[in-house]
Amino acid sequence: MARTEYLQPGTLEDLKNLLPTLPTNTAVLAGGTDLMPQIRTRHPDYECILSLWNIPDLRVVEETTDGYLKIGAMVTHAAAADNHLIRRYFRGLYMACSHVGSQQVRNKGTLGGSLVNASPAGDIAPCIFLYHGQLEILSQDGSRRVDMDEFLFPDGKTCLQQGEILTAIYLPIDKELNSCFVKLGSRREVTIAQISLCAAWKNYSGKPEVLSAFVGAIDRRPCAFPNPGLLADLLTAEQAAQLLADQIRQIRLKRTRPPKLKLTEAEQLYKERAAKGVVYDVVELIGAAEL
Amino acid sequence: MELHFTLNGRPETMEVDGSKRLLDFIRDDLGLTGTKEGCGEGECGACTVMLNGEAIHSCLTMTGQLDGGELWTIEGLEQNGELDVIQKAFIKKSAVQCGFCVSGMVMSIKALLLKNPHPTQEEVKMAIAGNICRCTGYREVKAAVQEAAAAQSEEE
Ligand SMILES: Cc1cc2nc3c(=O)[nH]c(=O)nc-3n(C[C@H](O)[C@H](O)[C@H](O)COP(=O)(O)OP(=O)(O)OC[C@H]3O[C@@H](n4cnc5c(N)ncnc54)[C@H](O)[C@@H]3O)c2cc1C
Ligand code: FES
Ligand code: FES
Repeated sequence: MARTEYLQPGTLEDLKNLLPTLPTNTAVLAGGTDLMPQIRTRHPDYECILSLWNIPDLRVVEETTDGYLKIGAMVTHAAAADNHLIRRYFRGLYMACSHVGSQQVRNKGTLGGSLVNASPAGDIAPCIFLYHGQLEILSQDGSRRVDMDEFLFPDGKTCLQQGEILTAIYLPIDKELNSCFVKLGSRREVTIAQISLCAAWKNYSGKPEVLSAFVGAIDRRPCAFPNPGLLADLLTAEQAAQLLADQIRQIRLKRTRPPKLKLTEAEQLYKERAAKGVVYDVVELIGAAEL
Repeated sequence: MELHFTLNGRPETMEVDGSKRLLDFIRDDLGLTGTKEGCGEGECGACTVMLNGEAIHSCLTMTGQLDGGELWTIEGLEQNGELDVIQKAFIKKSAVQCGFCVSGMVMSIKALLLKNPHPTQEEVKMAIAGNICRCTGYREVKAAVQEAAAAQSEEE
């Protein structure tokens, strides 16, 4: 078997110059935490690996002059969880990143890798929907920015074409906005979400108004929570939990193709019950933020 | 590709296949077999090494990702014939049985103590959550970390 070529540009400029020269059978390597297990199980015969590992520009987190926080696609979960700007403006994303996998996974796995891999159980995509984030994509023809809706389609596929690179995530900064993220999984510290819920709210005369909420791991891509206002108050939490359980059931019944996430019947039922858990966790976090 | 890196404190330059798994490079090419392979997919932590001061899975890393970096494996911890404080603490607290998980566990703890010399129990738990031990249980390991942290601050 011919040796796989390994390309690892050191700058964005070098990366741009490489794009037109890549063989079609090229794999992009970010942290490798998803790609390496895939290579191990599927044995694809890649002609070339394009590693983004050594491009410092892709690891920058900075405020832009037009009011966004720009997060480089190669920012790791650990770096994001440690970043004061992400902690200050996007607490839900910070909470999600702090609980991805294990420390080893957080040290290596990147936000960009998570979005491109687009696992239905991924913890980052729900947050990007929540904040109305945009994604910057680099191709041979230049750079473009798309909304999360245009990046990740309802069938769980991304808009990325062969040879295109996700370079950054842009999140609009709203200093009044508070947010949180919770998930329930099968193991306490190293948990792939069975269900996740994130919510964003603002305070109006001392009372929280929940503006939006997204649920992860119940469909091919994150789903908007039907009535986010119900998450603002413990009195309406039960109703919110019921709504989410119904939503999960409807998604299951509507499914015509086998799910990408293969779950047993028991796991599916677990998910409906877990809905209650994540709803109450979020309601409590919103309530606690008031104090 | 030509790989420039530091191995356990020594600068090295080698011609390598950048797409090779770092775990295979360490064990087969460098002959450092202290790093173990358990699951090969990021679940068990047996293959943990330290890259640029951070614990990572060598089974989920390509060798090319080492370029310009600093790699520490379990073999690098012993200095001048003396074991590292973490290794001594593991022995003292009987945190080893079959030993298969231990090099990965020790490297996770090494990375933790470098960043955070006085971790809380919760921080220790988070740092080793990705290291599975089938024999000892985690009580002895956590005790060893506290012992190592104390010994380290006494040395300072
Ligand atoms: C043990 C374990 C536990 C995990 N736990 C969690 C968890 O709790 N929550 C969670 O959300 N995820 C979890 N994951 C999944 C994984 O760590 C994340 O999805 C991770 O962020 C992937 O990023 P990466 O940089 O490692 O991507 P890679 O593995 O390098 O890449 C993933 C895919 O995206 C492509 N790609 C990557 N970056 C780009 C880019 N910038 N442009 C174009 N294409 C790109 C690659 O070609 C590949 O197809 C876990 C994984 C493991 C192994
Ligand atoms: S062998 Fe790498 S995590 Fe198990
Ligand atoms: S001592 Fe045997 S697996 Fe940990």
